[in-house]
Amino acid sequence: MKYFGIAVLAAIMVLAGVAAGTAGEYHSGQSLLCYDCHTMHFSMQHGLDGSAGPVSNTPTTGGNWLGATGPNQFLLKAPANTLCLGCHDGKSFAPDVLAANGGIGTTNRQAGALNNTSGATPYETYKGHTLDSTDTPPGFDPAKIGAPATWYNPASGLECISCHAQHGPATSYRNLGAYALGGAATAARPTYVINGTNDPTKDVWINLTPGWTAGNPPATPDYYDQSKVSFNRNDATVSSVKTSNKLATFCAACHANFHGGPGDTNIGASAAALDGFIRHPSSQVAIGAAAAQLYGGHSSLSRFVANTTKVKVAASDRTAYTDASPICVTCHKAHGNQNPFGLVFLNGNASSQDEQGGLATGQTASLGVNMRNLCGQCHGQGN
Amino acid sequence: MKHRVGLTILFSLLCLGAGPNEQAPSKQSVSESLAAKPITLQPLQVVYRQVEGTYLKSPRGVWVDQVRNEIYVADTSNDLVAVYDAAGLPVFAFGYNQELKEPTKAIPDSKGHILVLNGIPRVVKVFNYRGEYINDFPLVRKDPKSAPTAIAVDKNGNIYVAIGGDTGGQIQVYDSNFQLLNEFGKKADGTSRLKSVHAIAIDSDRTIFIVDATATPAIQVYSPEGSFLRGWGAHDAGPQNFSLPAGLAIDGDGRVIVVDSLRHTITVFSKEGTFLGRHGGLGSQPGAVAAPTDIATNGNEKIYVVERLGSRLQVLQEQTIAAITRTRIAPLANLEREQIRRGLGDIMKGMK
Repeated sequence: MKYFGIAVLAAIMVLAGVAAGTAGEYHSGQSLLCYDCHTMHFSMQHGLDGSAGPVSNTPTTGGNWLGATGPNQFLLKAPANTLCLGCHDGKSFAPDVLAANGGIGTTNRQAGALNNTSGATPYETYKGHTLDSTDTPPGFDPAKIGAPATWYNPASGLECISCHAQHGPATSYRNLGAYALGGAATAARPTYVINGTNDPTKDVWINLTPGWTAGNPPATPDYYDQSKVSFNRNDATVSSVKTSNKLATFCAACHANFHGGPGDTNIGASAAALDGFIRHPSSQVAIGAAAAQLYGGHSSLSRFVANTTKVKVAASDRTAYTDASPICVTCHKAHGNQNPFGLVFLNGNASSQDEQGGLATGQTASLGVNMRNLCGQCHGQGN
Repeated sequence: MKHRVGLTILFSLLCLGAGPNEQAPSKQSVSESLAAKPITLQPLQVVYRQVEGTYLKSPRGVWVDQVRNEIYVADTSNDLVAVYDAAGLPVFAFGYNQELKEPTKAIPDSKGHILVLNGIPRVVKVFNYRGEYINDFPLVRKDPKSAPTAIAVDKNGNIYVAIGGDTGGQIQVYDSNFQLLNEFGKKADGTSRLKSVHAIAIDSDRTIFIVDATATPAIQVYSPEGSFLRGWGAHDAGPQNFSLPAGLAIDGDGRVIVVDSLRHTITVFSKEGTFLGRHGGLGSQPGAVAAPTDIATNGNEKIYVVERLGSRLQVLQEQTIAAITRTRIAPLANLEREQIRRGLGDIMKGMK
């Protein structure tokens, strides 16, 4: 009886937690119901009318079943990626995140496009984040941001919820910061503001008016358009990872060994000199500052400011860009695109950017030239 | 003992209905009452093959050409449209020349064209009856960001296209020559009743039924002229509501049948919106569905459902529960009721 009481108490606490939790920016305003994704009972052996069938006892492809006759983990009605893509692939009311944009509105998605393990041209698996991939993330060292070493298990395959906290909190940009990060999630969740006026204390500014209320994003595809999204410079050190923006901190949860500025050991240099520099600084370096222009002008603020197709840097000043610092999404699309590694191959002559980097109409893609143009956004040499 | 028998008989009497005997309904009332009666769906056939050598991957849209008895299935992963005969045998497929990218619906019009709702970019493409691309449908778009999200054709050859955009959705009606005839879907104040139209179906009276994934009501009914008549269903708990209503069809008796992609269900309503029952359930066996994305009928009793996760086309047969009750059970029930009454009378006499 005592155990029964404890079990009931535990159940009440779990339910209370669910009720008190605020769904995130994606789902709260759109009124997703628990029932949309979860089934309430373990058994799924009977039909909707109570008959013995016909409901399969066999997991659907990619399913992760709790038992021979049970449902998916977390009582999900289907594997997590399948559920997410049910709304986020080719629907008119939710952002399309897989491959080409079949939704309504912009094609210039800030995060670009995911591919999957069966990804076909032009969205092959090496062109961005690959759903269901079992590869270990390059530079995987979660301890660097204080996350549990086992927070991400590559063998389970990459899921949407590996990065996005599907229930919120609404204060995190795109619901980033998976629950499995544990206590490190708070440090890795980029904050944001949606308004016509920037709030430099937030990591991300989505330039849309009117403003919004928590959990109710503007009902417009522009919300996801790269032209509306800017990143503020908010230097922070989380454990041993230095970043200019929490979005980069979040990337470090998987790709920690790509992070830091000149002098940081985790990009291969000593604190005393840049001689050991083996990786591109990803944060806390100001384009145009003296330290960034060592060795004959590795970067050039004037060059960056002059470019018409600016890459996305973290900067507090959007006119002079005096503290502009590169972050992961400066060169990569978070989801991916049609280029290797999701790189944004900017074309210097293009008047606008797209997910691939702004090839003008009729231009032929040339990886070498366009890669040079991407580097040329900040670097003057040879360009 | 007698009390127990008496109570049992009394209970049986109540279950059978102690009211006046049923009168034989008139022909007209049979049709009307059938539409309000629940049905069962018996699986007839499961089709995995698209054409010889290829299989359906993510079928998104299905349509039945009731004139030629052909079934059109649009598959977003294969970038093809497959056409089947009434027996479910593949006739041909088109889109091999990369004219299509993530097609979501294909329907033949009254002039022998095949209209395909293309996913990327969102346009309606016109093909000839052999599947050869002719041109894009001349949609009237006042907002450059608007795009077509659903398409249907009525018995008169008029073409209905749902247009979605930042400011909501509306339905455009074109004649068979692709000339715009009418637009509807807005309230008197100019705001839209529609947000994300996923499917349109037109019944034999040209009443228009629309399923909207995010608007309330989710099912909206309009007159042939475009006046809002009624609606029902919401994104809410309860079997009469929806999570992601994706397709709807009107059967031969006027029932409205809706598939829900997230609930893995096939829900049946009367044309007035009375909930009549749910079918399906997640699974891969015949009769179960896995992320159903669209539904169509042949105008009689055959139901066609495509499933994104199940990667297949299913053919289901309607069976009207009410019809079985009236023709077979009801006469027996009347006889039984009379026998029970007599028996109950004897028992009551004995008790006295």
